Amino acid sequence: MALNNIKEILSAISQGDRIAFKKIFLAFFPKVKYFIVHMIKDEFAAEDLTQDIFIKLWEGREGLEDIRNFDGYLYQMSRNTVLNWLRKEQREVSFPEQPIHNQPEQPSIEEEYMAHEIQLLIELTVSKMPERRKQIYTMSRVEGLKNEEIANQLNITKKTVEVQLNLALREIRKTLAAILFFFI
Amino acid sequence: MTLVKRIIYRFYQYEYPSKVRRAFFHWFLQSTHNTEKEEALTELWERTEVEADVSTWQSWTEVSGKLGWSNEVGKQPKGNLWIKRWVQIAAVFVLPLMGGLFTYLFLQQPVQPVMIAEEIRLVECFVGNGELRTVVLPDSSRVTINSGSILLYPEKFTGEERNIYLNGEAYFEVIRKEDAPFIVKTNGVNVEVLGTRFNLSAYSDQHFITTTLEEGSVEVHVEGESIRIEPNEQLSYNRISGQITRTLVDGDHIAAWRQGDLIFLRATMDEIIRTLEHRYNVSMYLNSNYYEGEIITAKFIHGEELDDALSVLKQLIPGFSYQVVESKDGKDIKKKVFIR
Repeated sequence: MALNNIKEILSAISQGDRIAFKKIFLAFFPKVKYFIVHMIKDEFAAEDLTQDIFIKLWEGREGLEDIRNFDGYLYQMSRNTVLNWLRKEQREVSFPEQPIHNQPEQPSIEEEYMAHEIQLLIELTVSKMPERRKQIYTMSRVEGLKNEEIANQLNITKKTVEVQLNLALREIRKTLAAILFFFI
Repeated sequence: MTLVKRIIYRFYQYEYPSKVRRAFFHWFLQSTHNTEKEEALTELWERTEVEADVSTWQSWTEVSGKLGWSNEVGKQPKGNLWIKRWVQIAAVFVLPLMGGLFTYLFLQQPVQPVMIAEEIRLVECFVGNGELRTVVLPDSSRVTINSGSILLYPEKFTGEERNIYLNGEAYFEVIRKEDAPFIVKTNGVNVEVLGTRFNLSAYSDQHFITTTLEEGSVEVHVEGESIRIEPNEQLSYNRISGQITRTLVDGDHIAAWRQGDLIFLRATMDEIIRTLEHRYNVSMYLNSNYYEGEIITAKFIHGEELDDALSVLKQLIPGFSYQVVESKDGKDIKKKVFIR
């Protein structure tokens, strides 16, 4: 996403040209907002943060002339905005210091090194599964229930439990395939 | 791809429940694998290509307001009241943001990564809640705009496409032009036609974007797919789940709102509430998920007032109860409806 005469536009903005600023705004606001929304997952906060970035750009307009890589400059602003917001959120919401899944076996050093990451990736994968499959997987692997117990509790056949568990595990294996390669 | 990158890419791509989000953020802020995290972020940034849409214009209006630029046009009276009334009387106007210089950037050619920016005046048409309005576009196509909507269109159509932007609902009667497809862009769906009559509902406060064709043919571009629909067919896109459904509708029901009718066919409570809000210019509050999954069919075709509509819903839906509260906001009386 680039305007071809970005250098001139920036120099016009540094002279106080509002129409030039509007061009930059319309060309880059969507990208900045998209990036922030997808990182922080909060549409309203992202809108405010993105607006703040552009207000800051205008307020510091004198310096814009000297920027060589405007896209990179915007990236730095967006990245810092995301990190600052996340840090602030972390302070406000106390994070329970516990693993998402229990890790039963004793891990080797390499495994331990990456254990947290693997757990996180599994959690991301599981949370996108269809509701029933997610439920069965969680009952089996997190709560440690037997297939028969799950079938009884959910009032479904043991066969259905097995099929769903297989699908869940296959999905997880697929996501982890590239990574597990390193451990084999 | 490394594990760290895979995690970040995956997180970036989808929505997650708050527990998973917190786990991710916690990990993301830890000072481990910093180089890879940085690389992932940079790559995501570089891959992000988004073009301006109606919401960008709304953001622009807000930002230029925050910078104190909206009050700059000489003859314009000051203060919010004026802007508010302006919106309420649903006037077609050109945004007077730039000290009277009506030159606006209009973005065309969505396919090309490099934007072709042309200086064209963009006409912004706000239609307030409780209002309807018909406008004639520069190519003589007619658009009837429903309550609580914004339509943006260039003062004249140039180039190979007729691009306009909609947030809300409108009924289009498009003049046929073989060489210049007419494209309505919304937040989620683009509808492309040559010449035809259709209704498009794309309110940013509703989950569904629905396209209903009355005559001719239209192509709906959604989630990278192009779907052609037939007359009397309706295509619904659920912005949240991504689900697309096609149904046949009664021709008489298409854009019945133009006569002041409200027709809900297998609608959710949420859709009904948003529609009533726009139609009757009230705020409605629903603080329970009691109605989740409830599918309601109701017709209001006799010019019902808000109270009539609410009492019909009360008869239709077991357990439905409501309270209307009037409050003064300056000179205006604002109605609020609380639903239990």
